Amino acid sequence: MIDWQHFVCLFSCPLIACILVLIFSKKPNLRDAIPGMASLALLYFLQVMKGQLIQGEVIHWKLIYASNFIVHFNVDPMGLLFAQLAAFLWLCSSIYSVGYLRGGGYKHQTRFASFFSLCIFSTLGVALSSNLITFFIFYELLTLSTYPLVMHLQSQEAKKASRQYLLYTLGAGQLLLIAIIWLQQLGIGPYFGAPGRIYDLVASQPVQLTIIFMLFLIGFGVKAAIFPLHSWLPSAMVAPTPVSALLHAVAVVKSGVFGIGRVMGFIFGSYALQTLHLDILVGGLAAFTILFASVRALSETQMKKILAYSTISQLSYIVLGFAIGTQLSIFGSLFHIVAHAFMKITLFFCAGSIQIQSGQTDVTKMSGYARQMPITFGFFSISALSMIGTPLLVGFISKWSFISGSLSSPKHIIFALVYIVSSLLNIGYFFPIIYRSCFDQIPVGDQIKEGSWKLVLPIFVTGLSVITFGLFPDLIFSFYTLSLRASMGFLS
Amino acid sequence: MNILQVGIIFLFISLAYRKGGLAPIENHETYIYTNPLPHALMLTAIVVSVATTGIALSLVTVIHKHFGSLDEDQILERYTSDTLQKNKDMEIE
Amino acid sequence: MSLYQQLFVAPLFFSFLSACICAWFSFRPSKKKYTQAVSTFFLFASLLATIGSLIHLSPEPLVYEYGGWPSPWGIVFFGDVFSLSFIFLLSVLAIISWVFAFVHVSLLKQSMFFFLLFALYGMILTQDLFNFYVFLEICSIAIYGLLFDRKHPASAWFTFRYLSINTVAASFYLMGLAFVYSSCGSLNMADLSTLIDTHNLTDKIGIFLISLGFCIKIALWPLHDWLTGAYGSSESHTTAFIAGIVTKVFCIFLIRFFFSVLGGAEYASSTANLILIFSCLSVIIAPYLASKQSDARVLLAYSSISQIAYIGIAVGEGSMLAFHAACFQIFHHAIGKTALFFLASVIHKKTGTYEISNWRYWPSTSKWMTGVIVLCLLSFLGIPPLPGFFVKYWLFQSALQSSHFFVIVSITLGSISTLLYVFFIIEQFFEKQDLNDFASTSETKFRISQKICIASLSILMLFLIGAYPYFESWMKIEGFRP
Repeated sequence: MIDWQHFVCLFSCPLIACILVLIFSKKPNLRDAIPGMASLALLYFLQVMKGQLIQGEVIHWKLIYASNFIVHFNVDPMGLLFAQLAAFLWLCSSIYSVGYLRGGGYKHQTRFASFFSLCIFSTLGVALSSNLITFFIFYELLTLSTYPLVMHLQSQEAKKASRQYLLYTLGAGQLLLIAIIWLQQLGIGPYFGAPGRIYDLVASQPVQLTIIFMLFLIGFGVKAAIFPLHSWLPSAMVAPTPVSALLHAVAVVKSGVFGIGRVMGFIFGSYALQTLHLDILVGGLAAFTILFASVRALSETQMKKILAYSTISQLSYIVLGFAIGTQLSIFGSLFHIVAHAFMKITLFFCAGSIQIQSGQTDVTKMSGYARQMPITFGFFSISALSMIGTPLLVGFISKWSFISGSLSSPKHIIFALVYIVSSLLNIGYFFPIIYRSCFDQIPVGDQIKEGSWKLVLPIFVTGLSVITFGLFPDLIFSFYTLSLRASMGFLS
Repeated sequence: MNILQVGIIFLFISLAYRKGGLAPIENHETYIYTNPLPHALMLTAIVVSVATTGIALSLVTVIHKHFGSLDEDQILERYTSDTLQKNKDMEIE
Repeated sequence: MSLYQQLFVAPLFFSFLSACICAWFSFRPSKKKYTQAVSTFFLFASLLATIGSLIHLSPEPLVYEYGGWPSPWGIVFFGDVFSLSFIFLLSVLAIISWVFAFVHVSLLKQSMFFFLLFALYGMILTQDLFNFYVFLEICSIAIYGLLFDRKHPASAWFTFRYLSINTVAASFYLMGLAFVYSSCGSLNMADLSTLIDTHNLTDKIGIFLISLGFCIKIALWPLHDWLTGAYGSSESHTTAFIAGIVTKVFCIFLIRFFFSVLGGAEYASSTANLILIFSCLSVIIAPYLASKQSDARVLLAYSSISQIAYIGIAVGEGSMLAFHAACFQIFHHAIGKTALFFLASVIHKKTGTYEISNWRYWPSTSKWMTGVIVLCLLSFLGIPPLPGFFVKYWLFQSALQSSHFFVIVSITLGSISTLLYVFFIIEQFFEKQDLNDFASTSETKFRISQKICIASLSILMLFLIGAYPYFESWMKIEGFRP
C-alpha cells in the first residue's frame, strides 16, 4: 500500500464507526457491535504498519502544506506504541461500555458511542502526528470530543466538572499555541526530531527557551495532571466508568504525557534540558505530584476518586522518567504508558462492574465482596499488585527501569527514593481494599453476583494482559521493542 | 447632534476661505476664488443632516406615544418592566 | 473601457434600481410577487457581475471613473482583489439573507434593504473619502428604517439611540476628513496615501478623528452599548444581515484606511496603539459580558463585539500577517454570525422568546442545525482546524514578531472568556427537556429556503478552511508599506 492509503484506512476506522453508530442508532445490537468491529479493523491496520516500521520503512503523509500550517502524519515507534494501545483498549472498552450502559440503564447511548469513536480518532491523530501543529489540532479535538462524554449524565455535578475540565484544558491549549508559534519564530521547526538550532539557542536565548518550555509544561501539564493543574481529573470521575477508564486513564491523560515526552525528547533534547536545568524543575514537580497524589489517595473513600489520584501519581512517574533523561528511565516511561494503561483500565473496569452490580462506590463498604465477585476482585488484586511493582507482572518492568534509570544518573538518585516511597504508599491504599473485600464479613442481605459477560470479558482480557505482558512484553504488539527503539530516538 | 453637524459644516466652509478670495462664481475681475469643493461637499452634508433630523424627530414622536415621556431613565424603566411582563406572560401560556 | 472592466460597478446600479422599484411598488402591494421576482433577478445579476469581474481580474486593478473625471479630481470606484473579494462576500450574503428573511417583509423594508445594499457596495468600492461619507449616511438611514419595527414600538427607543450615536460617529469622521483635507488637499484614497504625512499634527488629528468615528461604529468596548441595545430589540432575521455585514464593511474601511492609505501601523503609531489597546480590552471584556446575558440577541451582539475587536487588534498591529488575519476574520465572522442570528430567529419562531434557555430545544428540533451552531461557536472560540483558529494563529504570529506581549495575553484571556459564552450555549443543548412543554413537542416546520440558507452558510464556513492555504497569496492590498 502507498503511504497515504495506510493513514486513510487508519483514520477512517473510528470515523466510519462514528457515522455508522449515528445511522444505526435505532438498532441497539448492531449499533453496539460497530465500535468493536471498527477497533478490530484498526488493530489489523496498525499491525501492518508495525511490520513495515520494524523492517525500517518510513511511512508518512503530508496532508496540508501551507506556509506555516503543516498537517503531517508520521509513524514512529513512540506514536505506534500509543496508537496500538488506544486501538486495543478501544476494543475492550467498547464491549465493556455496552455492558455498563445497558446494565446501569443509562440513556443517550448513541451519543456516547459516537463521541467515543471521535475520541479514538483524535487520539490516533495525536499519536501519529509528526509535528507540533498537527499534534495541537488533534489535542484540541480530543478535548472537545471528550466533553460530551464527561457531560453524559447531564447532572449539576457533571456540568460543573465539565466546565472545570474545559476551562483547564482549553485555556492550557492557548498557552500551548503560543509556545508552538514562538518556537517557530525562533527557528526551531515544528517537526519532532529535528534538532535544528536548539544548541545555539540554548546559548543565546536561554530565558526565552525557558519561558517557552514553561508554557509547554503548563499546556501539556493540564492533561498530564501535574501538581497544580490536576484537579480536573478527580472531578471528571463523575463521567460514566468506561469514559473514566479509557479516556481519563488512557487516551486523554496519556496524550498529555505523550506531549511532554515529545517536547522533552524530540524538540528540546536532554542537552537543552540539562543546561537550562529544566530537568530538575520538571523532576521536582513530578516527584511532588507523585507523593502528593499518593498521600491524597489514602484519604479518599470513593473508589473512582482513589483510582483518579492513583492515575495522577502514575502519570507523574512517566513525567519523572522523561525528566531523569537516561535511556533506561525513558524506556521505563514509554513502557509505563502501556503498562499503566492496562493496569488502570482493569481497575476502572472492576470499579464500574462493582458499581453496576451492587450500586456501591465506597470502598469502606465493600466488605467481603471478593467472595461474591471472585473474577472481578481477582483481577483487581492482580492489577493492584502490578501497580505496586510485583515481579512477573507488567508494572514491574517499568518500575525496575525507572529505579535503575535514576540510579544510573548521579544527579537524579534522589528520585529512586521517590519511586520506592510511592510504591509503599500505593500499598497503603490498595491493600485495605483487597483485604476488606476478601477477608471481611459480608453484610447481611447483600447478594451480588458477577456482571454479564460483557462486563466480565473485558476485565478478563485486560487483567490477563497485565500478567501476559509482564511475562512476554513483546507479545503481539511489540510494546517492548517499540519502547526501546523510541527511547533511542530521543534527542541528546 | 445638530450643533455638532453645523459646527462641522462651518469648519469645512472656513477651510475653503482664501485670503482675498471671492465667491466661486466665475467673474472677470479677479482670479482668486474661495475653494468651491468644500461648499459642494457641505451641501450634501446639510441634506444628510436634515434627513437624519427628520427621521430622529419621527422616532421621537413614536417614543413619546409609546412610553409617554421623553426622559431616558423613565423610558428604560418602562422598557425593562415591559419585557419582564412579556416574559412572564410567555411562561404562563 | 470594455464591458468586463466596468462590470464591477453593476451591483451598485442593480441594487439602486431594485430599491427604487420596491419603493415605488410599496404603494401597490398587490404587485409584490412581481417586484420580488425582479429584485431576486437583480440580486443574482449582481452576484454574477462580481464573479465575472473576479474572473477577469488582471494584475491591474479595475478602475471606474465616475462621469469620466480621472482621479484625483473625480470620484473613482476601485476594484482590486481586496474590494472584489468583499463585494463577492457581500453579494452572497445578501442573497442568503434575502431568501431567508427579506422576501417576507414589507415592500418598504425591502426597498430599505436594497438601499442598504447599494450603500454597502458603494462603501467597499469607492476610492473617494467624501463619497464614502455619502454612502455611509445612506447606509445608516437605511438601517434606521430596518431596525424600527412598527409592531414593537419599544424598538423606536433603541433605533433613536442607534441614530444619535451613529450620527455623532459619522460627524467625527467628517471632522477628521476636514483636517485631512485641509492639510493634504485631496480626498482620493490612492492620492492621499502619497500625500498624507503622519508627523504633521493636523494629519494626526484627522486620522485620530476618523478612527474614533469608526471605532464607535464598530462598537469597540467602551463605545459599544448602542449596538447591544439595537440588536437586542429587533427581529433577529433582519438583524442577521446588519450584524453580519454592516459592521464588517466599516471594518473593511478601517483596514483599507490603515493598511492602504496610511500604509501600515508604523505610519499611524499613536492612533493604532490606541485602537490596539481598546481592542484588547474589548476582546477580554465583551465575551465575559456575553456569558451573563439571557437574551440570545444581546449575547450574540456581545459576541460580535468581541470578534470584531480581533479585527481591531489586527488593524492596530499593522503587519502583513495581521492584514491577512483581519481579512480572514471578516469572512469568517460574517458567515458565522449571520448563521447564528438566523438560527436564533428559528428558535424564536418555535418558542416565542429569545431566551437562551430555549436553545435547549435545538437537539430535538434539528440535529444538523445544532451541529451548525456548534461549528460556528467553536470557530469563534478558535478551535483548529476551523477558520477562527487561523485568525488567532496569524495574530499570535504577528504579535510575537513585534513583541506585543500584552496582545498575546489579551488574546489568550479573550479565548478563555469566549469559552464562557460558547459553552454556556452548548450546555443548553444538554439540558433536560420537559416533555410537557409546548415548545418541545411542537412541530417545527422549516421552509426549504431556510434549510438551504443555513446549509449554504455552513458550507461556506467549511470552504474557508480549504481556502486558508491560498489566502495569503490571494489577498493583497495596494500601498502597503510594511
